[in-house]
Amino acid sequence: MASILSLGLGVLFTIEIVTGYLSYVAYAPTIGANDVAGGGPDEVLFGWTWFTEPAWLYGLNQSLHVLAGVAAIPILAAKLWVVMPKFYAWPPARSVADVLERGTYALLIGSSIFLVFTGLFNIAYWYPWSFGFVQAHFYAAWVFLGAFLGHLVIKFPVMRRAFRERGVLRPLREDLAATEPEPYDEDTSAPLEPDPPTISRRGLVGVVGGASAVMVGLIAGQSIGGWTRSTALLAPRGQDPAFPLSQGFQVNQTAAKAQITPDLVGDDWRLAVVGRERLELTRQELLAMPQHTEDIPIQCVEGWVSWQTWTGVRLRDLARMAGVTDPDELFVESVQPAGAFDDVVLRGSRATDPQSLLALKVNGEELSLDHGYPARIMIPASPGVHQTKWVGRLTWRPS
Amino acid sequence: MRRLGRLYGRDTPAHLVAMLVTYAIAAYGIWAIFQGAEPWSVLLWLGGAIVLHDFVFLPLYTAAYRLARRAGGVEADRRRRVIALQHLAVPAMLAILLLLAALPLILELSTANYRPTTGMTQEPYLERWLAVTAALFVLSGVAYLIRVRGDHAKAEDASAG
Repeated sequence: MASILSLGLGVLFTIEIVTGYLSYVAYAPTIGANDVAGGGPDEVLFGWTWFTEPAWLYGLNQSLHVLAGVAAIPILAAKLWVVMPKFYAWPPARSVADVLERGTYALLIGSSIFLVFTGLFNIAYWYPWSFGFVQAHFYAAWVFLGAFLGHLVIKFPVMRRAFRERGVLRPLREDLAATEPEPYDEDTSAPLEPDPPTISRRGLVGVVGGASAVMVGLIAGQSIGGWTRSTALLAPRGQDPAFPLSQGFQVNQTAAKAQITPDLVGDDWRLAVVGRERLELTRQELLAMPQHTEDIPIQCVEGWVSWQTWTGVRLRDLARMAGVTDPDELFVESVQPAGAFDDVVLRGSRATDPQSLLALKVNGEELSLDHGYPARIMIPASPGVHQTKWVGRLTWRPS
Repeated sequence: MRRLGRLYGRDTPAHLVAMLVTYAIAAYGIWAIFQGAEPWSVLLWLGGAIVLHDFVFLPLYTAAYRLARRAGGVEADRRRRVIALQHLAVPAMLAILLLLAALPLILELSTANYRPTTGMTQEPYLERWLAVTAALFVLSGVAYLIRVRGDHAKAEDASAG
């Protein structure tokens, strides 16, 4: 029975590992002070340049990461329920191998639950612990990765044997009356003294799969957006845009939280552009430059997406004005006095993508204060927190 | 070699390789956790996850299962009672899982962060969860009635035939 649950869980956890890795790469952790997990990431493993095409790629990655984690909850619960009798076998270990294996189960189960729930609590902004979320989630993922790989090596042959002997779908054809417990086996999860069955195998798989589908269904709307957002009843960003949200769409961090005051972004505001030359531009001067319009979603690491139409100046035009044509990096600084991600280093090739903007307007209106007035960065397929708002200075580093 | 294998407890070296892979990568993760702030707090939560599952959730749902089994009662109409219990247990379980997954929203535990960050309140979530829970029980009840009626029809067919 554990085999089919393991297959589902194995697929979902593989998605978690891959999307988690890609998200870390998208943050460009090897340049500037971008690394939010700490510890000096490896250049080869994490140092390659994340994509700008398609524009929604980061949102897809993060939606998969969050939704696969949610979908894993019922399967993980069912799987633990199925395998638990084995953990209470007596004696608990009969050899060195058993003792070692027991330890890996502790690592695997502990890290799985830890990762799923720290992730879920983080996207709802609840921090009942004293550690930093990003670092703990990232390095607990390493613990998980090790335990998961080891578990695959040991258990994949057991799963394959079960599927070969019993078939993948054959056990699912029996109704409750025909359901017989599996015979006891040392290598599988079949218990020594099973109770009479109260649910057929297909019933259990149906209930668990159905539970995953319902949970995903009540959250996925925050990733898809449009009218589906109103179906995301239990998603952190699933509230009706009719709610007085600034300009009718989700704010990743309000101006109040970043302690933006009107005098920081009033008439005295200037955009400093620094390269081989140094210039200061007023908002009027920026609006007088060639304007470009792009559809780029805000894509949050927390797994929500919001498509909007942005108008502003191409970042590559600003690079050229500062005398830099082929920049290596762009250092973006916000005027925000508080809050995370007040500065970030972007790769030159991504910043000079023709779609990459210093946005001044959204959907034809002036940006609101909550959405980054007077100017914000919009780069396709970029993590939301790298779309710096209330920009004060752009520093181009020539290559 | 075979004696070594017997001493270790497995015939093939694959097991030992798997153990080495696991402990090597996990050790790196734990080492890295200790390079950061509050390492003991992270380990406490990692271990706490197991304790919470094995010593709180497992006993709770085992107890619920035992209780339900006892209610399953007499052998004669066991099937009908098992089905009735299934149709209560499934929506209850789903409601609990949803509560766990959206705990900070439903219980408004993170208002202090949520409100200033998003500009929204957490007020709608408790009502939404209650409504979803009610809908799950209603749907499950309807499915039960359809199933029981199907059983009756089958029984009548059998007696008529």
